[in-house]
Amino acid sequence: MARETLGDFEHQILLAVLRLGGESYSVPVVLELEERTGREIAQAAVFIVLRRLENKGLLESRIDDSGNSETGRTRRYFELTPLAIVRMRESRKALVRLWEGVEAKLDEV
Amino acid sequence: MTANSREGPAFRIPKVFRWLLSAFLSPADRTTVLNDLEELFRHRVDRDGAVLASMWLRRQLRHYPTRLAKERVANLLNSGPQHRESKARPWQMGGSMFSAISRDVRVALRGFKRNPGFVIVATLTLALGIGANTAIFSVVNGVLLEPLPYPEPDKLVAMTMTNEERGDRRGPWSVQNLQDVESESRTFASISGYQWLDYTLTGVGEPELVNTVGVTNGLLETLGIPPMIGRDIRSDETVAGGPSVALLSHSFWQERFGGDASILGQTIQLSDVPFEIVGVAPPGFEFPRHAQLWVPGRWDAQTYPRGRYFLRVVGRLSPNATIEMAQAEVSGVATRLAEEYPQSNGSRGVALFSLTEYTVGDVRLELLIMFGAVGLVLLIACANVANLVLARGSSRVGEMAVRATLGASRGTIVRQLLTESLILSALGAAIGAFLAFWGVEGLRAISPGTVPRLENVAVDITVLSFAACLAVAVAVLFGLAPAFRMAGVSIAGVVRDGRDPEAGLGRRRILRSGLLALEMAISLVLLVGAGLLLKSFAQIRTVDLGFDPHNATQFTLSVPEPRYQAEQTIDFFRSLEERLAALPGVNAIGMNSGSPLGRSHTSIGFDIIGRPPFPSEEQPFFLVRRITPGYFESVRISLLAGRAFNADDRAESPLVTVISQTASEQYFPGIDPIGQQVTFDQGQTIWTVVGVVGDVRSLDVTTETEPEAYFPHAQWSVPTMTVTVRTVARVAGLVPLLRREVAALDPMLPLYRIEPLDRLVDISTGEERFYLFLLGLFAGLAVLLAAVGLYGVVTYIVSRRTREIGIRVALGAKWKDVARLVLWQGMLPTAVGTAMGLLAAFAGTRVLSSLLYQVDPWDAPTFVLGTGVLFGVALLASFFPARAATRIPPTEAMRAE
Repeated sequence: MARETLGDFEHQILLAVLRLGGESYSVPVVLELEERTGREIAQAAVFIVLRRLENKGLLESRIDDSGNSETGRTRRYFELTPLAIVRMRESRKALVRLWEGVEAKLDEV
Repeated sequence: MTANSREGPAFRIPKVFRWLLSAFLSPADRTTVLNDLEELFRHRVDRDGAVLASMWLRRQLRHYPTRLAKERVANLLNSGPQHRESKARPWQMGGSMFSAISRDVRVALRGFKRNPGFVIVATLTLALGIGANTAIFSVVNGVLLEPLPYPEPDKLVAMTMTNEERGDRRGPWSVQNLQDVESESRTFASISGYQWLDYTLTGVGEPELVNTVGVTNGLLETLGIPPMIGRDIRSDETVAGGPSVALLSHSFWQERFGGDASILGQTIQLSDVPFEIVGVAPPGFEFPRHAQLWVPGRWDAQTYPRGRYFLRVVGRLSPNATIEMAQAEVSGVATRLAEEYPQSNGSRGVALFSLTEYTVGDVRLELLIMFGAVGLVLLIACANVANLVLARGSSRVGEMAVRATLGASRGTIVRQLLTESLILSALGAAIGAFLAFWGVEGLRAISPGTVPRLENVAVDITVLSFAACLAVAVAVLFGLAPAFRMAGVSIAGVVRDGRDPEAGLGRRRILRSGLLALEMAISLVLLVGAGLLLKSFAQIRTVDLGFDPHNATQFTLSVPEPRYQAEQTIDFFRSLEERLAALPGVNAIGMNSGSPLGRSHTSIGFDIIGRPPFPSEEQPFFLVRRITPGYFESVRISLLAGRAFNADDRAESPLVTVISQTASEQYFPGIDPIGQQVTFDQGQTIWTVVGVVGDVRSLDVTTETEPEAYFPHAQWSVPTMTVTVRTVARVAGLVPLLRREVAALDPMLPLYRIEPLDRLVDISTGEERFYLFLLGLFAGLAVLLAAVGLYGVVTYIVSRRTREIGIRVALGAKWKDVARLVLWQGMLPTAVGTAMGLLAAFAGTRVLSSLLYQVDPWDAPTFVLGTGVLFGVALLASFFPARAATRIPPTEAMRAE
């Protein structure tokens, strides 16, 4: 599979899933992102990107209608794949390098 | 909107949103999305309140379909091997088949962008063919295929009386015969007789003749249609002395009474007789066609004896009865009546037809012929486009070979090429559907009044579905063979044959020539068919009508019987004749109870005084006409012997009659009919023959004349007469003068069916003209398409063989040799096609027999002329490319690639 870079939102969603223990469905991801970014997140955007990430092999999903969930409803859970971890590490490394020595410049502007 | 069952504010998801979701997502994903949305909604209700939560939900619903669609498009544009080969997910947008098809579409569209000329020509050619077929199919569908608009239409039958001696299978009934069948039948649930009546509506706006139908009992009940308001006419209302009631058609109720909801119980004056309105028929119901009013038909036995045939009859079979059972039953009744009443019923039987067959049977063959002819035009269009595809394919030989080398299977390449054909076909069908809308309007405008059920003709969903199926069939027809040809190309073949696609690919040349020959063959068949119809029409125009239709105007008048008894009727028409004769420019005035070419007639059996009564199977009959003395002169019917009627032939004078030449020859062979006497009522009244006149085409132009007898109106009056006014030349403002003279005698009498007599001739030949126009149009279209196709192919061949031509000239060939070489490319397929076409025409033109008048379907001059036209057109189409080829400088030709 061709190596693709992570988009900004894709990155955020992977981070949110990671924060939620490596596996989640779309609702906690939406709420986590809203809490962390301070803005309203469209559930459609989250759902679509989760699908896209699965298509790229960075997530794997399963349907859960076992009734373990509180509401007894059907949910699709997404889990980070090892490839996702690798991509997130690479992405973080690149961002950290880009940020090195630049943070102070933000205060000067 | 669907409300959630949980407590708290309702989680409402519109159905349209669910439908949109299901267009993009699998059922499982749709469920999870809705569940997640609801959970987030509940969270917001708890956090922000119901109002803000509802606003949040609306925002989500608004953007969801758009985001899903954008993602789908992005996936399509970015699809590549990595996407096809990735693990299939239940929710993966665009399966592998979808991706493949969308890729084929993208490739096809890119190719079309590079060849806009090809696309335009191919699309327009297909649009013409598909559009014409769709238009004709809409007529076939509306007239022949749509079931009659009555419940259980297969239970409805038309009942006719037959006369084997005269070869008549669709004769009318008499009242007494119908009553006998009604009383004895067990296989019919209901039977209704009906006939047109001439009633004038007065007291509601201008006096107007209304299309009134007299019925023997409830016609709506027989047809199974409940009235929209009120009730149907009852059987007890049709007996003598019963109440005068009327049922209105819906359109008549709307137009003349403004759709008055309180119409029931109101009284209208029909020919001075009050009728109570008891019901209104549902919208669209007009049986027979154009009926506006239905009233009880009170036909008493004295005025309408058993031997007077005039009624049309329709019946509904009992639930368990079949048409065969009913036929057997009524035939038995007819046999008994023939034995019991030989004078009136001898040699008469009964025939039953399904009402559908009775309604459309007369035009079925002709419409199907037109449908077949336009289908042939489409075949030519497909052959043209196939040749275009083949020619275009020549320039794509390299592309196909490379694709094959890179691993594309033959099936993949064929699928790609068929996708291109389908796109072209779909474009052609879309434009063709628009053309069909206009075509249908045009057909409706020019079709003769004899084509039934035209109101059903429309480009509806059935017709559009036909167009869609036709588009697919057409794509396969013109795309499959070239696709397989091009998919078979290999790199080795290209290397071997170089860039000259003509070299080595002999099968492509054969296919191309074969398509041309097919086009020529089809064109010849259509040309011959059109030529035969043209010759037939020319024959019809030379028919001696027996009268002079020029400079004569005709109108019909009907006097109301309560006000006008026999004497008043005779006086009225005599006075009118005198007044009209005094008008400036008027040459002659005459009146007839039936018009020439009028199609309707009354016939009556008779005996000749002094001879034994005829056996029932040889019962002679006349078509009966009541006329005024000036009639023969007004229509210019020639007097052959004896005298015409005059003012002395009054009610108190000896009864006289004038017979037609056919009647004289048929019933008085070898003797002078003048002075012979006939009777219709076993001698109660005796009529003396005083004259013989020339035959007249009384029914229509192509129907041979039948024996006719004319009677003085003064001695046998009728309330309805058609007046013929012959003028020196066309008189401007004649019609207002006529109205004025009639109004001077009776202002309550409307004139109707006012038209020039020569217009009647046009109406009578309307059907022949219609089919001639259609077949001529199809033949012209076919020849044009074939000529364009031939021109295109020969031009293409010249362009591909330019270098060869240069070499030939350099080696000593003359320019006339070049011209001959090029002409041969066009004329050889033409010759082969002509031979095929002649065979097909010999086999096929017999189906036109019913449309031809005194023309043999194998008429040699027509075949020769058609062949000559085709060769001429082919020569012309080949001539220009040949001339162009002779003008190419040899040096330039040698350099050509």
